[in-house]
This record gives sequence, structure tokens and C-alpha cells, in this order.
Amino acid sequence: MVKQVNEIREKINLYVEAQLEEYTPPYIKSPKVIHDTILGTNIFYPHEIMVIDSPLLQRLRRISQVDVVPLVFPSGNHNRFEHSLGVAVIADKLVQALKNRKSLPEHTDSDALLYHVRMAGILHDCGHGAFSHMSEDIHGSFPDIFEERCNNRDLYGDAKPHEMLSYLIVTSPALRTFFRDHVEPIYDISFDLDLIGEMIIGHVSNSDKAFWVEIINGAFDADKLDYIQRDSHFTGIQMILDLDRLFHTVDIIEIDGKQRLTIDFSGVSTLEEIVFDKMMLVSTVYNHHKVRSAECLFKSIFDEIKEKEFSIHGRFFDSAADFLYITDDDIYGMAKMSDIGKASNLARNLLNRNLPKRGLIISGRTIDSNRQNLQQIMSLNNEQITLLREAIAEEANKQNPAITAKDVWVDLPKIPKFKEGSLWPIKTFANGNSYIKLRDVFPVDDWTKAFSENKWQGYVFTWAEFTDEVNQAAQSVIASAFDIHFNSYARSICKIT
Amino acid sequence: MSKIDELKTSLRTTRKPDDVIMAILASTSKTKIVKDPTVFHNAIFELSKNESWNGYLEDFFFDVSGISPFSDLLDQVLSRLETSCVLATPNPRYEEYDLQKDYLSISLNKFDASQQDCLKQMANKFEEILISQ
Repeated sequence: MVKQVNEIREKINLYVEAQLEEYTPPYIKSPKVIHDTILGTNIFYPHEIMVIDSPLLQRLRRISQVDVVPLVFPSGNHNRFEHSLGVAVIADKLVQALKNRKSLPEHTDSDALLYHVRMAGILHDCGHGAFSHMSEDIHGSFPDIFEERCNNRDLYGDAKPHEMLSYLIVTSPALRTFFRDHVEPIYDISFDLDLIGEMIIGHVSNSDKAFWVEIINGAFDADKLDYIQRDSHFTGIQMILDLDRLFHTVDIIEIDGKQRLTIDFSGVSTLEEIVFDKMMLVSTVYNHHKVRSAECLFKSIFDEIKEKEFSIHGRFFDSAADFLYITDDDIYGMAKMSDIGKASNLARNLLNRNLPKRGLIISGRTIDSNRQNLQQIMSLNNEQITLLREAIAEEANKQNPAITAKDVWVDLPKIPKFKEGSLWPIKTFANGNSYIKLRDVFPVDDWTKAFSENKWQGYVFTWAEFTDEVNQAAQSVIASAFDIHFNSYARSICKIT
Repeated sequence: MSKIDELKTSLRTTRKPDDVIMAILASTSKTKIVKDPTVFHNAIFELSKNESWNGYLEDFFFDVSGISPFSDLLDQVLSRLETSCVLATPNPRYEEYDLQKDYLSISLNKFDASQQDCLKQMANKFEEILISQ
């Protein structure tokens, strides 16, 4: 059960009210055609246009789908808005595929299913802040969102922070009022906004509608099927994803009383493509060292804002809800602000792609011994990372007094999860079972995980003029604190002269 | 105190989710366990439901909407242990974890005697669940 309204819920409701206050919903008589580079020509229904045209969705045009990736892959300029429309289109295709294969359970209201999955696709990312996941890396540990999660463990599970914010927007009293007063009476369609919210966070409260949820947030959901194609296309990293085969093999089976999305055994190769594509995108694109370096700059902007108690557009960024008020352009706009001290310099560096360089690479390949102690570095919490930055700066300062802790960054990327192998039911009638897991066919998650773990690299970043001193200082500090000693590769790959 | 000394103190005294998992594994009687995320996540999920133990595992949030429980944080902890070879996974079959008990046992120092007793009970239950699946 959802507990009583708390602070973040009130803040989100105020945000939705503010977004809709000056929005006059247009009356649209007929569906609109929207073209898309990836998915071609698609129809959007009038009631959907009413939501799409609202500021809640329009702001997603100004949020990059892949945060600062365009600094490295210049053509990767696609945004959350086009992705959200793409998710609605693919969700529609999944429903059509289920209908064509006569897989929908008896008594399914297919119109309601279609309208709900499309609307959930449109709204699923409305909780993103500036530069997408970079914002949630900051606000995900804020007390208000943590309290919301702890108070509703069963509801949220391990949903991502932006999914929680999307859920809170969709289920806010202000959006309910908007749907009640505008969307539903004009177009005579009823929406269950609680269900749409649950589809976004991946929570199943109605066993008959588990597959509704899984179309938006499941093992091979429309979100994943869109972003893999879109991120791959726009960054120029070629990937193979045979969606047609997936649509020919998608099905529904009952597992433990729940109607779940599944796939025929003949569709396994597409699932493997999804896992391998995801693995390659993470290692090649999302975890590129320049991307990681730019993300460090982004975090420093908010460290500065917090430390100096600056406000941006009246927000102090002490609540996850504050991140909904800004988009990427606001971050770049900070470069021209004169009243936010060093935060402005940091934003200018981001704007001009003046990024910190690698001072040291931490990985299984760059250390000579005591590999087990890598675990201690990889598990550092935020406070300990700050201490490590300060200790490296303190050591480097002995050689160059100009170096401060704010010139040193320690970046320890998360290793991607591949839960698809464990959570994907594959339809089969062998051995009397109705399904097997993907990993029972081939342990694809083990192989991709092993690849990702071998590719894992942590970084110490600093400005170009400090790389030599910071490299020596970082090696010394890490040797002393963690008993880890680096080989020559740790320095040479950083191209320190 | 210098920053490096502060860091060392913090490393020695701060208890993190990784320490709880490592302490449970250190307290098992096994040196090898099955490497199957479904089994592992389910076992820790079952332990977290025991009220007398959930204080140790409250940082772990589980997604229970799929066909088996899954925790993002637990996945991260296991990834870190695998990458550092504390949970070694011999190629190419990946069917078992070799537990590096010497390293895992370091985490036990962050728990007092009564907590270590509790972790031992959790380890026993963990083994039971692993065997039953």
C-alpha cells in the first residue's frame, strides 16, 4: 500500500501544477502523423497530442537521450522526446504482434491495452532531469527520494530514481485533474493513471495485467527496444537488432498466476542480440572515458551550487524534484551566469568541451598484484571518494601547490546489469515446463558480465597541466591506502608525457 | 589527521552493503557455491524477509515483479566481487564461484561478536536455500 503523502509528493504536485498552469490544451479532431528517423511514419491519436503538447513532455526535447555523449559522438544529438514517442510506437507494435498471433488472454480489452501502453510510453521518461541519467546519479541518493522509496519498498522495488519521479508525476493530483477535465471527457477514453504509473516503475499489482507492465518495463520492453536502435543509429555504432523476428515470436504465458510476456524458443537469437547490443553500447558509448570525464564536471557544478548555496531559477537542488525544473539548456546557460562563482566556469568547460584528462586508470589490467583489493576501491561510497580525491590532491600539492581537491576527480562506473538472463521466460513445452530462463538456454548474462567486468575501468581525472603530478600522487595514495601497485600501462594509456 | 589517514580510518570502520554479503559468504561452510544470479538474489531476498536480520540487508531493494527477485545493489556488489576475483569464476563455464575466504573474512572485523553470530545464522540459512534450489 502507498503510504501518506510526503514532502516529495507535494513538491512533484506543485511542479505538475506549475507546468500545466499556462497550458491551454488544444482540441485536436484527428490523429497526427509524426515522422521518425528510426521508426518511420507513425500516427498519434488526438488525446495523445494533447499530452505530448504539454510542457511536461515538451521539455524532453531539451534533454539529451544520452547525456553528454554528443561531446564524443557528435551525431548523438537525439533527445528524450523522440525516444518517448518511439517507445509508444514500439509498445503499439508489440500489442499488434500479440493480437496478430492471437496471444492476448481472453477478456483482454485490447483498445484499453493499446491506449494505456502508448500513453505509458509517452510519459515514461517525464521524470528525467537535465542530461538524463547524470541528474539521477546526483539526486538518486537525496533524502526525500530515499525516504519515498523506503516508505514504499513493495511499490518501487529497485526502480530507478527517474522512474520514481515519472510515477509521482503521472499519479499526482494535478495530472489526474488534467486527465479528468480535459483528456477523458473530450475523447471519451478512461485512463487508469495508477496502472500507467506502475507500468513505468515495473510494478505488478494486477496479475492479469503483468504483461501490460512488461511491455513498458520488463525484460524486452519497448523502452529497451527503442533506445538500443536509437542510440546505436545516432552515435554511429552499428548494432544488429532483428525486431521483426521478435514480433513474430512474442507471446503470453501464465506463470504463478500472472499473465506474462514471453517469447517462443525461436526468438532467442533476438534476445541475445539485445543483451550483446546493450553490452557494446555501455562499453563503447556510455562508459567512454571522455563521457565519464564530462559527467564528473557535471557533478562538480552541483557540488559547487550546494557548497555555496547558489540557486538556479529559484531552486537550491536539495530535492530530487528540483531537477525537473531544468533541462540541458539551463546547464549550458549557467556558463553565462555571473552570480554562481566557479559553477559558471565548470559549465563553460562543459559547453566548450574542455574536459579533465585521465591521470590514472584503475582496472584489473593496470595493477600488478592484490587484485582482490580492487573490491575496496570499487565499493567506495561518496564520502570515501571525496576523501580519496582530497588525499590525492594533498599528495600532489607537495609537488605543485596549485592543485586542489577540486582539480581531481575519482570516477568508479557501475558495471551494467544483465538481469535479462534470469528474468526472461522463454516459452517451451519441453520436460513439462511452460517456460525456461534465457540463461538456461545459454548463459548469455554470464558471458556479457564477464566481458563488462574485464572492460571495467575506474579513473582519476585532472586538468591537462596536472596529469603528471596527479598520476604520481594517485599511485602513491592508492598504494598506501589499498596496497595496490600499478604497472606502466596505468600511466602510458593516459598519454602522460 | 591527514586526508589519507582519514581515508584509511573510514575504510577500516565504515560498514557497507558489500561487507554484509562478504561476511555472509565468509561464514558459510563452503568454498564453492553455484553461480546463478536467480539463486543468489532469491536467497538474499529470503534472508531479508526475516525481521531479525533485515537490519543487515535494509539497503537492498528488490524488484519482485519479474519471475524471480532481483536487486540492483546486490548485482553491483557481486560484480565488484567478481571483477576483483574475490568471487572467482573459472572460465569458460561460469557455473561456480570459488570463494576467496581469506579476503572475505576481512569484512567480519567490522562486526562485533553478537553480530558475527547473527551473520553465521544467516550464512547457514543461505546455504540451506542454495541447496534447496
